[in-house]
Amino acid sequence: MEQQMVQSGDQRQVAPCRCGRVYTHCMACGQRKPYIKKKRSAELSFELGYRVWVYSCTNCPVETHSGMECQAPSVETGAGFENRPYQKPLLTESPLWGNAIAGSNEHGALLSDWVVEKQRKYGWDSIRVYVEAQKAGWHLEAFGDRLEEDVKQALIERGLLDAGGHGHSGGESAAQVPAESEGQAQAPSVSLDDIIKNLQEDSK
Amino acid sequence: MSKYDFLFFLLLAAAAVFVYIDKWVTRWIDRTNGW
Repeated sequence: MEQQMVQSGDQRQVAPCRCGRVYTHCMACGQRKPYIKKKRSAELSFELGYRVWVYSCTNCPVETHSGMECQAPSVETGAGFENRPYQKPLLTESPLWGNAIAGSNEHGALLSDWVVEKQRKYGWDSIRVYVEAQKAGWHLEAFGDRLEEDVKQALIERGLLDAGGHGHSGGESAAQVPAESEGQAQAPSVSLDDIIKNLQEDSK
Repeated sequence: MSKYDFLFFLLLAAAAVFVYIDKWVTRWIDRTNGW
């Protein structure tokens, strides 16, 4: 019922309308989702001898039916046409350090604010907080040699920083694996058995 | 279940039955006319 039926002999075939629309529309103005008059459809179908659907448009006062020739203005569906469903425009995320230059003192000051805030909130140790900062997209590699050696080592161990000092993490990776990262950052060298034991003790 | 809950579900059931019968009748008309 929702699609245009083209009558060819005894067979009904689904085909796009000559105006290019592939959905149910008013044959006069092309308005989408016209009201379908079922009783009138049945009456007209008996008159014409084949099934038609009578539409009452909400846009124009014309009553049309699916058996008539479409008078609606055509839509562009020719070569090169691609039906793209609406998508919300992605927000362009500005870096966490705002307009400051990466690796600058301002960047450092904002990072230290973030670090203090997170340490106060979650009680993370000095290494973990930098690991989390890198995961959150603070791009610690921009600081280069100014980064403390143990922090750098921890980042390299976790695969957040190359040995050459190139980071490869951002906000996305932090969002993807927040749960995993907590466990890794807290106890990277603890074996699985110890973790299970700890969990069992906690549950008691 | 309050009286209004009952009435709500009754209305819902009635609407479902109506839609079912409507579709069945439409299909029956189409079938009997060979459409």
